[in-house]
Amino acid sequence: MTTTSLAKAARPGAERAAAGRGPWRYFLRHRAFYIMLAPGLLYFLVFKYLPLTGSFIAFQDFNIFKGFSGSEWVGLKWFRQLFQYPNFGRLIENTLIISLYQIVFAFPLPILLALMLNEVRQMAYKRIVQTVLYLPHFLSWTIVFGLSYMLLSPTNGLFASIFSGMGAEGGILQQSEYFRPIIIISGIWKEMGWNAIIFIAALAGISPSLYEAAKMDGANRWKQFLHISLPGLLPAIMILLLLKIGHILDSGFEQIYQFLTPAAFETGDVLDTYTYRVGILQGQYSITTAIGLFKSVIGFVLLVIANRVSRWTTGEGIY
Amino acid sequence: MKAAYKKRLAVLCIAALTITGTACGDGGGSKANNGETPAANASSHASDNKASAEPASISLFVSNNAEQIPPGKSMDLATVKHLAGKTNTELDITFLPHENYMEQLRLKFAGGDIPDVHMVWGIENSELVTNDLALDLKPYLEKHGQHLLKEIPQSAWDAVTLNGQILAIPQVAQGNAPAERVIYVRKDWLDKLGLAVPKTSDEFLDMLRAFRDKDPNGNGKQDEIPFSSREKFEWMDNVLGMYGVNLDSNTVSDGKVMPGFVTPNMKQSLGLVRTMYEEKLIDPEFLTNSRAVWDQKIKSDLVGSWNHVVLGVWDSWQKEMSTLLADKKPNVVAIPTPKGAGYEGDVGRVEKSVLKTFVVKKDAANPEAIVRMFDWLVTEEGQLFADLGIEGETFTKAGEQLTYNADADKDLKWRQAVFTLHGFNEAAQKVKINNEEAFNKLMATIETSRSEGIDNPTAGMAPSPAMTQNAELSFKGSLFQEAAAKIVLGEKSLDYFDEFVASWKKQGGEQAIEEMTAWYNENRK
Repeated sequence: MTTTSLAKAARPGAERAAAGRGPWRYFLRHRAFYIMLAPGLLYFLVFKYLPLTGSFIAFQDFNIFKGFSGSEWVGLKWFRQLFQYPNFGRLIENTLIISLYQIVFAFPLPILLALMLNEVRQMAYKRIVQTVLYLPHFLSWTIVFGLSYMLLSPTNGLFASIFSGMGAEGGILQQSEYFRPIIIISGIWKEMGWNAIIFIAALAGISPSLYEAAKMDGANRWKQFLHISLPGLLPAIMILLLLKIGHILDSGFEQIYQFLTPAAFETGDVLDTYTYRVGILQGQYSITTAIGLFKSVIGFVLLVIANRVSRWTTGEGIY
Repeated sequence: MKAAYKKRLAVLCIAALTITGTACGDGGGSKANNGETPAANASSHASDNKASAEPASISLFVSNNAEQIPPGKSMDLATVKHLAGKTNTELDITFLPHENYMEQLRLKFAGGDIPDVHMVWGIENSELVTNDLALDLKPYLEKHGQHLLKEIPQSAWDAVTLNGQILAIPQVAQGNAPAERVIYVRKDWLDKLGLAVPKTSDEFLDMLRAFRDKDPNGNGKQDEIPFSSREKFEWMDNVLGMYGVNLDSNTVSDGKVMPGFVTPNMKQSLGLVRTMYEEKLIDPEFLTNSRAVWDQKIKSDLVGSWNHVVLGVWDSWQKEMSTLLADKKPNVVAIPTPKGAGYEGDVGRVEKSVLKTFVVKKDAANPEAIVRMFDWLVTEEGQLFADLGIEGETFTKAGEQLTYNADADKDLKWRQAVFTLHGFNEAAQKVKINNEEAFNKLMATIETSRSEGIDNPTAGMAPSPAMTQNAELSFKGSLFQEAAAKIVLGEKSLDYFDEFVASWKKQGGEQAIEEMTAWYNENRK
């Protein structure tokens, strides 16, 4: 709500600015906006751009006591170690499959939820449903794992008797076949309501006059949904989808780490858990950085391609 | 129309970025507040004859040992203040969480936050030691550490000595029992079923089978878990130890040093665990059990046997189970580790001559004061402090007679975990337990542990470079964990173990063996 009014307030200023002379006057006139922008810019500069310069330790045998200047240069050693890791193929496969499942199954649900909530006319009911659905977002993954355990444990789980028929001796939490579904389902349960917020906001931003006009023209609820709500939501959907594709090699470390057991490595060991095991736990910062760099490059390339495709097909893009 | 579209887009973009931004932002975890305490305001408590000198500031990082430690500055804690007063020091202690202590320590170091003294469980785990930044304490010990040198046995000093330099102050194994873990059994279950203490792995299996079938907890349901352990194949050391290997043991064979988990003995051990899983003799959830879940199962009268530390026999096992299961009259006893079928040799837990070590950094400001402080902790007075607290407040001493007031001693758990350096003070333990039967039980458990144990040829060895650079090679890496899980769960045959060893060697294990052998030949042979 406040964002739309802000955008409106900005408009007259923007028109006047076009008439102004020189960037400095423009800046002065809109100083309030620039001041408000500063913390955000600073955040990205300090926490996102500055650390980028540290990436070169991926090419060093970095030792915290020797520092940037004292550590030995080792070229592509860490990248070689990563690519020559015998299970590297499996890591990539698991990462991609879990991400893909997330895009196919988990991504559309918040959109659906937002659209459905948008059709609810009873405001109180809508608010309650929305609140209840986004509350799990505030639970940590440790707690969500605890809950899943209480449901699925073979010795004292609520669903134990159902699953014991499925031939899962040690409980389905220890079975590699069920690992991915559990990750996806628990992910949906935890994040669906929260992720719907952005879509609900986007729907609220659609001008009511469009609906009124449609009604005048005799469009029913379904037609209104099809020709107003859905197109109105498309930019938001595309942006979030593109961002998700850029993060395709991040499959949610905290969640997977909680659920992963050695028996499920085959389907659940992803790049992030590997990084944690070989990098963070051992204090091997160079290989951690190398993997991060590798992930970023892949993510960047994918993002560029996806953006092209999106602009070409739907006309939407993030830049 | 188009412009409005763009604007909405921009708003959405910002919203999306804000959300992802905050999501990234809260991943950083909590930051402990361990800024340097100004040394100005606490010099008034120096009480002994060195009082004329200013108290020496010492900063320490230790584990909180999974205990609740009152918040605030460490010098505000009565216990720490007492120690500081006795040793004329100003102690700035940071308690890092026990569960991920090593990780937190690494992060602190990476952030340039290096205290004068830090605790690690073995010097091989300290980055200061591996980077040659730890102080050689030998000269200081000779001058200021006479009690330490006298009280702590040579085997413990050996474990912290590299190239003739003493790189840490060791805490002796608890109870002076280096094989610090034993198998616990519910003796009341054994008695109820008329079973004898098992002496071989076959008898051990028979005992577990009886636990499974004969309803020893008497609730009419077949819900007993004959043996339970925890995730990552941990806390089954003595079961693996029936064939003379542990996850973290090293073995010398044919003049080569290699990790226990790639030796043929481990294959036999895994075969045993595989049988246990097949016959439902081990907790089906042994791959996921967290400490809390495992603890809960044992204390709810479900588990017949488990593996734990020697000094746990009274507090917490027997003590808490006697309260929780009062009507069952539980009786927890340690049994000597049974011998694996067809195996001759040492059994049990790999011997750890030190429980933990305190490493001092090379440029510490007051090395003499540091050594003096630790030295005080092993004097008779210091031992009583670690075990019983502050004289006059939590215990009193009349001649040789000690009286201990357990109710007044709120700091007991973390104080003894952090500050105990000595192995065992019989008199203090006796009044602390204050129960003849329990004390005898503790002594019996210590006796059991002392009479067994696997030789540790590489105590004090830093992890080989091959293993640090490729963590997949350690027993915590996916190579071993996955192979072991598949074998035990029956997805792969036992002979898959040989495939695992071959692939482990190929991926850098061979090099690790060479490095370990070289170190051994140079330092320990």
